[in-house]
Amino acid sequence: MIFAAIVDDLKQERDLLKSYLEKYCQENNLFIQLSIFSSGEELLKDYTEKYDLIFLDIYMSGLTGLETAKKIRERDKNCLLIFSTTSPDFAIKSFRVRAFDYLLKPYNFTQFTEVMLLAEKSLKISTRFIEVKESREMVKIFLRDIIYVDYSNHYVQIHTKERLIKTYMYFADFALLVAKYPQFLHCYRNCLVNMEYITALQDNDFALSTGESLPINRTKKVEIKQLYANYAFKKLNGDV
Amino acid sequence: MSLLLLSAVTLIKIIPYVVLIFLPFRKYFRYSLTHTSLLTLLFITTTIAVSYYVLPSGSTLLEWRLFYLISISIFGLLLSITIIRTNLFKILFNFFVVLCYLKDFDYYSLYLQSYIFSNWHFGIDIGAMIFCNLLLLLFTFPFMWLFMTELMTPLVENENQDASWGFLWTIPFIFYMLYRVGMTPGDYLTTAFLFSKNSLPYHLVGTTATFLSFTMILKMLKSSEANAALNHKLATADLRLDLQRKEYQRLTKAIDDTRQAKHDLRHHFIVLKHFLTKNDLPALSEYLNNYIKALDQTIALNICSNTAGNAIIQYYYNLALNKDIAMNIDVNIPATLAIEEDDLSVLLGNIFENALEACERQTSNTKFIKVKADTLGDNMFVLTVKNSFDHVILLSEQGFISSKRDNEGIGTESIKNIAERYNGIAKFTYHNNIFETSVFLNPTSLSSK
Repeated sequence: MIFAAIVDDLKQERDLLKSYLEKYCQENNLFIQLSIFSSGEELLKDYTEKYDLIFLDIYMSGLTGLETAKKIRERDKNCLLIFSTTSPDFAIKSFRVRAFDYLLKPYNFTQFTEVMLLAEKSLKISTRFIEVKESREMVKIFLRDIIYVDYSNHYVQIHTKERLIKTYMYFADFALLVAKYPQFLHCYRNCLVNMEYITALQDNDFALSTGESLPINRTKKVEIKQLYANYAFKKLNGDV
Repeated sequence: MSLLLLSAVTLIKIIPYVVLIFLPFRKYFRYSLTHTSLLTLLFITTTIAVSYYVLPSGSTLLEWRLFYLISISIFGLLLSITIIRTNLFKILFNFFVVLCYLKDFDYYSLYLQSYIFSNWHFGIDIGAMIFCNLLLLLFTFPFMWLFMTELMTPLVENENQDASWGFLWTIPFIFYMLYRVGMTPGDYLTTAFLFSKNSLPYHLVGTTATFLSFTMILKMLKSSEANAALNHKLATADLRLDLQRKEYQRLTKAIDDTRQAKHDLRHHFIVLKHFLTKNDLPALSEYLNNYIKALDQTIALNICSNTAGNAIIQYYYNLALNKDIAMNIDVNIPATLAIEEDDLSVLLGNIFENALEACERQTSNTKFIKVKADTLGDNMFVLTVKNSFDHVILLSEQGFISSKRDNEGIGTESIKNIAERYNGIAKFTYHNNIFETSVFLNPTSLSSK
């Protein structure tokens, strides 16, 4: 179930987008719960961070799309924001609100589908998780929350933003769990890092957004740099 | 045989050689200094302990020599291979050079001993042996030290010609073997000769020959490496020259365009004035409208907040538009970037030139260029440009051969060069008639031109 919202001050636009969304869902067997707003203020009033996907019109009277987006980002860093605009202003990506994509008005259903497909893919990726046993229970960990994983005293330690999860297993077995996901890099013996959290690639270590540093295997430095670059390219091209 | 004396002898007979074996590799120790020293100490104490038990009091000089020779040979080699982390053949070369020194040293020490103390026999006179060893060390060790630091060290630390060492090490090995071959235990005749006073000239010639050869070999290796470095510099200088030529061509074209534009503008003003003097307002209005429409064709876009990036991408966007190439831009290049404007301009310029030229040469319909760029982390920058193509791509050992001229693709070389300077990576791939240039830049505060 995907929670989506449309924010546009023109009824025509709202209806059009709604119809496109409905058509897309029907064709692709997707279930969406849609909320419609006629202004940024309306969305932000009683705002709870439950939306996965928000369509924002840029030029609105009152709170503009951009200002609305900034306010949304203060509360929710993860939801996808898709702007719709009339001007071919390519500076959308530099608005510092991490817009996912944009729709150039007037757009047809095919163009809408293209963007929706990418959005769907991105949502699917962000909800990926693994399950491991902590103490006696199975816990679910979202891949996007894992910063890095290391090994100590027979326990695989999963470092997330909230807490540290310890699970009793071989590191190699854990590595298998995340082997098919491209964002994890084996940078050092018994150490996996989620490349999304890397802020700098230094000579001998990775700097993470949490302020910590992870060492890089000296003999594999060149290979690791190549792997990181490849991941950066894939991410840029939207293949991740 | 007191343990103290035995230790003294062992130390004198082992330490100088261990030092020489390790000396050129002092930057390549696998373990910390303390760890290495401990291991060496262990080796020495083991040798002392073993010698205490293995060498009975009445051993002859030859047996002693054999013992120390074997200790250094086997254990010294094992020690150096485990402790030093570098090309094995470099270690072997050095090792056998030291062994050649060792065997000559033994003889000269013996000769000296007999000369000073007038007792040429195979018995053991510890005091004399220690004294002569020290004396000889005083005269020969400085030369060996110089040999190691001046000749061996720079060659060991230069990692470019690792392949040559694969056969170079055989030379000191053979020199050493020449000495050992034919020395069967029962061959008293040869042994007697080799250790007699009469063989001094033979030994002197031998020592000179071996060490002269070693020095010559190393000097030649040094000059060949210097040569390779110079060639590399030359290639880079050539590349720079070509790049400058290209930039100059662009500049002259830009100057020509400006001149043309001024000329056109003058013409337009003349026409407008003409309409004005004739008071032909409708014609004037139409003329102006057409001109404005024509100007609108050149779309000025606000692509990104980085001035250089914006200017370049805009320029090529318009060029592409005029050539019916669909250009899709999805970039985020901030105003402040840890990459110099010049470098960014050259980088983008080269990538776009390549993409444009490939599209222009296309004979089929769909021509497109897709540009994506974004920042990553604190300072990193990623850029991918995909373009359609249908010509044949030529490759050489070094990289792409330009299909435009006969020399190597300068554009790709320049791109690789910039990527390298910013600790990054440039990747060129092509598949299904789409060519993709990917650049990853990782500037640190130490990046320089």
